[in-house]
Amino acid sequence: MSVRAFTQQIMGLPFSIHLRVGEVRTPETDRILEQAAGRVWQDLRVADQQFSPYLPSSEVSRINAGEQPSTSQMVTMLELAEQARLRTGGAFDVHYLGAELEPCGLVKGWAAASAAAHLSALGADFYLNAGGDLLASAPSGTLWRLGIEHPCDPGGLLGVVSGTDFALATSGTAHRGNHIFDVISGRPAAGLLQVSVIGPELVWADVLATAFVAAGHIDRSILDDFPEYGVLSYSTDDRVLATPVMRDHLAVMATG
Amino acid sequence: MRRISFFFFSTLSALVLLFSYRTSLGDATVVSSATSAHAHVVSGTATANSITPGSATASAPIITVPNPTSAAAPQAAPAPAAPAAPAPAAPAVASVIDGDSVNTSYGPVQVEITVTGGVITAAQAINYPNNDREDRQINSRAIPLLNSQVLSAQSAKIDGVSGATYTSDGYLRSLQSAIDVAGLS
Repeated sequence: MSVRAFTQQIMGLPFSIHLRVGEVRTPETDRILEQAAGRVWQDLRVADQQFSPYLPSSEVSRINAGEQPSTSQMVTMLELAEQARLRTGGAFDVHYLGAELEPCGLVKGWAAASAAAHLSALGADFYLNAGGDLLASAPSGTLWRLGIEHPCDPGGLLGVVSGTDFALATSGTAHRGNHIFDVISGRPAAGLLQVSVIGPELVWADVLATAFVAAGHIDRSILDDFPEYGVLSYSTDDRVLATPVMRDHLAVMATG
Repeated sequence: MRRISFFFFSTLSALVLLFSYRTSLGDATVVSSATSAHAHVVSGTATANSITPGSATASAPIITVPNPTSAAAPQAAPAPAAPAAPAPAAPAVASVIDGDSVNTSYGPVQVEITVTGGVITAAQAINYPNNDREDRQINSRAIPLLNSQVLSAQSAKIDGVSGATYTSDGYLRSLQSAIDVAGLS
């Protein structure tokens, strides 16, 4: 087996697709893979044009200018956002300071998971990395081994997880400074430098990681509502916590 | 002249600080207290065997030592050159390290970690609070695992990397970017 990768910048973020393919390459298999990747990028661009608060023509910008939601996708996204707000006790909110709609944090994972259907359709092992949040699938049963970046050293790892079908999202302050804000105080979140969440769905892994960084701690009452999700956190005082589901996924390193 | 030498000295001490932070990452003791959040510096012997040479790192809170790769960091320290040399090959010998007992908000916790080839392969609590039902509930949720150990990406044989949201600039220096390049054709 070999791996084919495709990369693209969308929503201001780097996306990459990795596919496990046979060693034998033909123009036909190349065309199929390129076509599937192209469809993923296309779906993500469409989502960006609809949901970006930075594009004046987007539906989100129009809502922020006072219009009502007009598409079924927007209604679905807003319903999902409301679920995320309720299930995180308000720690995850697509409304900045309770007012302006800024759904990037939700749309990225939601749109990526939806677009990944083009990759599932190939039947091959793949992962999609959406700006640091990954969705992995391995129908072959061969484990994907995914590293979690160390928050203090992007060239090193905090841990490695493995599995065949899972999502892994990481939130924190390492790459953008404090880009997550406490929705109540409006101040940058403190307490946790980085949180990674593993679980079956990318959007919820992403929501939980963001919510715990924003809250500054792993809220047990929230996590109890997500029994299939595991958390690896790194605090501002350099302490690491792993919940049982996360520990089950932490990879065993082969010797040699 | 006096002013010049003072400036030189402050630059030098900043560099020393940066280096002492970096080497402290290799130490495998469990961090001792949760109360010293913002002034915390990891103590202990500096055994930097799993550190990528040349990489700019800091185990201190991001507030006092901003990540040098963060474009948004307002007071970023001058970054040493980007990592170019590979990490030294880590021996594939398993070593078991017992951490110091840590006072957490749940009570004292002691953790044992197993490191193989520079990578943590196992971690278990060998001493943790179990005084009442509430404590046992907490233990079934989360235990402190380890301190700011950095795993070498070179020895970890990874397919991809999850990290806090990349900017395009940060991505260019990321491990994921290097893995992507290997798969492009």
